[in-house]
Amino acid sequence: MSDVVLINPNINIVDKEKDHYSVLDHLGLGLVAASLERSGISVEIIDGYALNLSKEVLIEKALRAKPSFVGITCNFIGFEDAIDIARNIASVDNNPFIFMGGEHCTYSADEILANYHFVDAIVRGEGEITSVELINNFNILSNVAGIYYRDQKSGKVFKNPDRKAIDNLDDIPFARRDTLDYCKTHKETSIIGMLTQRGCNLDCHFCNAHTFFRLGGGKFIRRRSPQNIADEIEILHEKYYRFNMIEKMYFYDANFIDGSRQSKQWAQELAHEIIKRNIIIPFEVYMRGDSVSPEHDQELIDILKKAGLSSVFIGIESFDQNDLNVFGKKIETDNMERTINFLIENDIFGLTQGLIMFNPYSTFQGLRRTADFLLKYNLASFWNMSQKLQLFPGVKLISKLSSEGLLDNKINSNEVYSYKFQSQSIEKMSNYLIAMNDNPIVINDNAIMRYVRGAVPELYKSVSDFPDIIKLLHPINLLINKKIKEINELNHSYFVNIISSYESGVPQDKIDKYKSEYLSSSDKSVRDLDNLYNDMLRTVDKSLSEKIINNKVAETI
Amino acid sequence: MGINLMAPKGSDQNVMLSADVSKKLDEVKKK
Repeated sequence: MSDVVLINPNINIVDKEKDHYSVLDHLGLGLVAASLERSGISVEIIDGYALNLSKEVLIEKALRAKPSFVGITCNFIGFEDAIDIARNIASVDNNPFIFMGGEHCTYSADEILANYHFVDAIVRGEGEITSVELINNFNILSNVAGIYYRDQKSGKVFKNPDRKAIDNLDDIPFARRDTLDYCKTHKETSIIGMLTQRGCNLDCHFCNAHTFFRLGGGKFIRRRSPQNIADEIEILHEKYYRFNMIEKMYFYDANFIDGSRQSKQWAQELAHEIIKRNIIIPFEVYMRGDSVSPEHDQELIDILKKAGLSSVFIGIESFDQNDLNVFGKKIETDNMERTINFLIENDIFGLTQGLIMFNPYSTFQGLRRTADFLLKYNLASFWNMSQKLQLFPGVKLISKLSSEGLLDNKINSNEVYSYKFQSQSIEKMSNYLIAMNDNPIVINDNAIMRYVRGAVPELYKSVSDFPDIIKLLHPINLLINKKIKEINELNHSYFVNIISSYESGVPQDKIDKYKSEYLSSSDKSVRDLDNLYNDMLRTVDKSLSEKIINNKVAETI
Repeated sequence: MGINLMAPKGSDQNVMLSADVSKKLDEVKKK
């Protein structure tokens, strides 16, 4: 029995991809659960995504806990499942009070309460304090800031004022890590998330980060103290990392270093604190394409790397200046390229980047420009070149598209692709490519390619004490790099071919023929790459086996 | 945000072999 059950639905689209990816915990539920627990409210987290639970199992588990309250979070992909789960839970006798939260629900609150009578409330913005107040003041919800709710008697929807941003983030208890506890029991590993700061002082037109964390006002950016972050990392290190339960931490902050002196000083203090306590866990951060520069930040990057910084995710979005202006990125391509080169030189440029290849204003010329840039940096994966703007509820671009007649009339907030393009040919091309992302060959190729690119440097690092093994790896590494370049060229050439086809109106059957030829070549090349990495592993395996035998012989003598 | 933010696991053949290599590496490093 629990007072509250918190649910993250599984994502259907991921089911077929699940085998290719590691477990990822849900930070938001962990944070809300910790705050509820501190207030004496018992909570069970059911993370359908992390544990790959079917909707039916998830509902059964939730009902078995006989909770008085059920909180559900979701993004646009899981929205329909989340609603279905709420509907099922609400249909039992003595049904619990159902509330929803998270970014997607925050900006779709009106729509959800209008369309789904079984949802009782929406927690908008930061959920830690609001969820506790919602449960403690269940009978007088009119006093709870940060919620929209349905009056139980009249059925009328009320919109309470938004809550001011939590001033001191150090006051928030550390997130519960139920997924890691599960991994410990089942001998699996997990990627985990952390927030070291909240907010964003920019306002990119496709993103809500600058409003979500301060709906009711408050500072644009709030940072946890380096000591508080290190305290949490120390616990994670002690309890999980030293048992190999954590592969990596993602710092989900919108922009880990925002370019200001204050931000850089804070990052430096955090790195010092982690190094001082010797609690290093590899971590990845998100940054803008101009957050750091070779002229000013070498020292900062050096110390962050010592503290565990292993990769940086850059929100590139596009390499066409017109696209970047549409997105309100306030960035120039030259600065972005300089930062990318700097990160590559420091060996921390991430395996994944933020890309929005297609938007309603895309031009053939702009698409070519971005594709050429991606090829130059070996980033021309099919995934990157097929990504299309996702129009999340609440983002600035919605009003622009609406005023220009490019928004589909009946937009439902989870239908993030409900918009038109200025160019019908580009719209057709974009829809064609995005549909290909469901193809098992594309899914597999994307995973293998990224895995090998990440695994090779890790393997090198792990055998760095053995120069004899390193020497054996070099020739295979050359072949791997050659193959990666070949795959990038293949992807780029397919993409450019598709651009020309749609530009000149090539018949659909010819375009379909290009697709099957491309998929077959891509599949073969990626298999070759996988086998080359297998050669590399076998080489290391054989050398280590020899060393083990030699050690045993030496011991006998 | 998309699926690509997740860390890929790799093919079965390489995941298994990787685990073997890690074990052997631990054994050699202990000496």
